[in-house]
This record gives sequence, structure tokens and C-alpha cells, in this order.
Amino acid sequence: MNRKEILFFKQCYGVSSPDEDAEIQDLLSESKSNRAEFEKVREITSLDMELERMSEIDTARGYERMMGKVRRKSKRAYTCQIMMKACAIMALPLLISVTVLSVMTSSLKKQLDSRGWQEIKAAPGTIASVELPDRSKVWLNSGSTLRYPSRFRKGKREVQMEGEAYFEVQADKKNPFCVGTPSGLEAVAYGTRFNVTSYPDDENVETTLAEGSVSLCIGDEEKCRLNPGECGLYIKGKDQLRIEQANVYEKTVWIEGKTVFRNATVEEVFERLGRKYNVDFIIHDPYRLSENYRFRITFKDETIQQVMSYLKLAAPIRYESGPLMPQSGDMLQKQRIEVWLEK
Amino acid sequence: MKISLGYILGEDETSFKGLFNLYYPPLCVYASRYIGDPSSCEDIVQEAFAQLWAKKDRIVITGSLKNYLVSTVRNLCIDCLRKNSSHMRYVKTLPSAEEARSDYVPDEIYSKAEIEKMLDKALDSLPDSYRMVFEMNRIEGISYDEIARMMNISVRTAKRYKEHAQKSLENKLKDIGK
Repeated sequence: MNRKEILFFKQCYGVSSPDEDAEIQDLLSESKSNRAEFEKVREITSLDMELERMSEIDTARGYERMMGKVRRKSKRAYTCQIMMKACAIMALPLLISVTVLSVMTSSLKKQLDSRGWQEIKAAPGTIASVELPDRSKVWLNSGSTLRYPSRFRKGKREVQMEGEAYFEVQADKKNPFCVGTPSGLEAVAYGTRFNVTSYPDDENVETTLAEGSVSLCIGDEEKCRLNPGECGLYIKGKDQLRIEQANVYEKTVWIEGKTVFRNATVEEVFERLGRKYNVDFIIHDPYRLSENYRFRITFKDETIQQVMSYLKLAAPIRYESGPLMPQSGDMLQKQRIEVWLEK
Repeated sequence: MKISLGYILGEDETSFKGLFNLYYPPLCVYASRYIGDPSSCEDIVQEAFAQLWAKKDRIVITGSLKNYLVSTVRNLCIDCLRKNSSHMRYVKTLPSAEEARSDYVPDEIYSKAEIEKMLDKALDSLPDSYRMVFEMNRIEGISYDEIARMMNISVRTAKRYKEHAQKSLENKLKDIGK
């Protein structure tokens, strides 16, 4: 016996030293039979390494895992089958109801389509402006909605709004411009600039005229006519209409992004700030002090934090910010701030 | 008449388990020629068997079942590589070792028993000394250097004995000659 066998195996398993490699080269060039033997050894070692790799694999564990996959698959297939059955059962009544509904609504839909109403909404904390088909311009304050037809009917330019909007109406004596509010009050104008505030949670609908003339109507009946600088207050609950002198600048300056308070009450200030910044203010006034304060402030690009710190300087208030509250149907979150009026 | 695999295997798992035990290890080794990560190799082969079991009553295999399994595993490997390569395109990594490795893969697998038989045959074709060295290393776990040392000693010892014997013989012959 000689070293040849050991050297060949070492080489084929890749564990030979350089000296031994040289020795192997000599052996291989020495004889043909050595080369044949070396080839066989190579075959043996590669088969052996293959066996080694296989023995590292845990077949029993693999089988368990595979059966787990089978179970998941059949579960999925079963759920799928159930779903298919459910779909088949549901499909028929669905088809019937869709058919019935589409027949029933087709006439209604046509009406809506011919009117072609569009809706624009100013996201909380933003101001939107839109030019209407008759080139009248409308600014929408934070959180307000305006609906208008893509083409105005002859004889009446009709829009509907909720929230606060400022209108600059193009003059057109033949076709009056009517702003409808959910309260039933309509402001009719021919060519003017005016502001309408009609928030759902407000007691009043406020129409402030800047220029021209506006009629306030309820159910096609003209109740009163406003002069520039006048504000028509419609009290929703009582169905009453009152005319007051108003600060037009204060009422309309919001379209420039400014919030202006002139002789404003505490409630008014927090109500408007709440709309602008999308904040729910909760006012605690245990000593009934709010009557004593009137505010005269202008805000423009301030953050709510800055606004609050200014207000704190102006009046003895204390406030606490609550967490952001998720709002239903709105992507934006509403913040809650509690305010205490202190002695 | 066409007979489905499910009919051949029967309802109980025994024969399927036998098939699994026979081909699971070689298929894992086969998959490792495409894919570097051993656990994903095993995962792929498990998936191939699970697919086979799930549709056993619907498939009729015309060729060999082994070849069917090999091609299932190969396709799953290629899917896996494709998925990873599109992923890699985003990650912008260099082509990995397993991609380079997958240039050529022979489509043949052998069960453990078959390989053992082939190995035995190859050892048989060589002088017995090879089998001795191989078995000392693989079965008794003696390292090659250790085997070499053992043989060296035995050779040297043998030589020494031979020399010693020769010398004593010569001496004895001398004695006789005197």
C-alpha cells in the first residue's frame, strides 16, 4: 500500500496541501492507470458529498411542513368553494334588485344629469375659490360646500351652499343670481358682492352686503332688501329676519386668509377660529365672564398655537389641547382645545 | 383507460409518505443548484409535494413520477429566481451566486439508495486499498492524515522488521558458514 490512495482522496475532498498537489501531479503524469483511478476517486467523492448533503436534510420535519401546506391549501380551496356558492346564491337576488333599481332610478337620474350639478368643498383649514359658468366668483371658507349646475338655467342662476361663502356676482338683470341655504332662506342678487354664512350649527343665517343690492327671500317671497353695509340675520328657529349694520371688512376679509375680529364676543371668536383651524373649542365659563370681553384682533398666517398664546395675552384664559380626534368621513383630524375663562 | 395518481397512491398517506421520503432529500439537493438558501430549497420541494397531493386525483402522469417532481421543482425554482431577480432589480444588487450557478443543471436526481449503490460500484472497480482508505475515513471517522501516519508507521515498522529479520538471517547464515 502507498500514499497514492490517501493523496487522491485528499485532493478530491479539497483538503490537500500544495506539496501534496505537486506529488499528485507527478503521480498522474506517471501512468494511465493512476489517471483512471483518480477519475474514479473523483466520482466516489462527488457521490459521497451528494449523500452527505442529503443526510443533512430533515425529511420527517419536511413532511410535517409539507402536510401543513396541504392543509392550508385545502382550507383555502374550501373557503373558495363556500364563497363561490355564496356568490351564486347572492347573484340572483342582486341581479333582480339591480335591474329593478336601475329601471326605477333611470328617470330620476336623467333629471339630475340634465341639471349636471357640481359640488365643491373647502377642506377644513383651507379657503377655496371657484369661478361659476356665468363668470361669477365664489370663495368658500374652511369646511364649506357649494353646489352649482354646470350650466345655469335661463331666468335663474341658482346655487346652493352650506357654511360660509363670499360671492362676486356678474351683473345680469335678466337672470337673477339665487343663493339657496338649507334653512330655506334665499339671497337673490343681480350683480353685487356679498357674503353668506349658513353653518348647520349656527342659529342664524347671515347675509352681509358689500356692494349693490340683494333681496332676501323665503319660498319665492321677497322678505327684505339689503343696502350696502347691512347684514340680514335670519333666525332659523323663529323664522325671523332682522337687519343690522355690519362691519363689511370684518365679515368679508376672510377671503384674503385673514381672520378679523372687531368688537367680537368670546363665543364668536372661538367659533370662527374653530372653523378656520378645524378645532373643537370647549369653553368653560363658570363665572359668566364672557360678557365682559370684546375682542379686536386680526390673524393671518399664525398657527393655532400662536393664536392661542395671543388670546392668552388679551384675556385671562387658560387652555389645554386634547388629542386629535378622528372625524367620521373626513381625512383630516379635528383637534380639541378646552378653554377656561378665569377671574 | 387513464389512471390518476390519486388512484395509484390510494387515500391513505403511506405510499405518498414513502414517495416523499425517497425523493425529498435528492430534490432539495437538486433545488440547491438553483437557489443558495437551503431553507427556501426545502420550502420549494415541500410546495411541489403539497401541490402534487392537492391535485393527485386530477393528474394523470404519463412519464415517470420522478421526472414530474423534478420539473415541478425546477419550475418553482425558476419562479423564485425570477421573483427575486425582479426584486433585485429594484434593490440594485449584483447578480447573486445562485443566479450564476443556475446556468446548467442536469435534470437527473437519484435517491439515496441509488447513489449508495453507484458509490459501491465505483469502489468495486478500484483496488481494495481505495475501499479501505475510504471506509476508514467515512465509516470509522479517521482523518486522512491520521490514516497516512498509521500506514507510515506500519510501513516503517514492517521495513524495520524486514531489515531486522534480514540481518539476523544473514548473521545466522554467517554463523552456519563458519
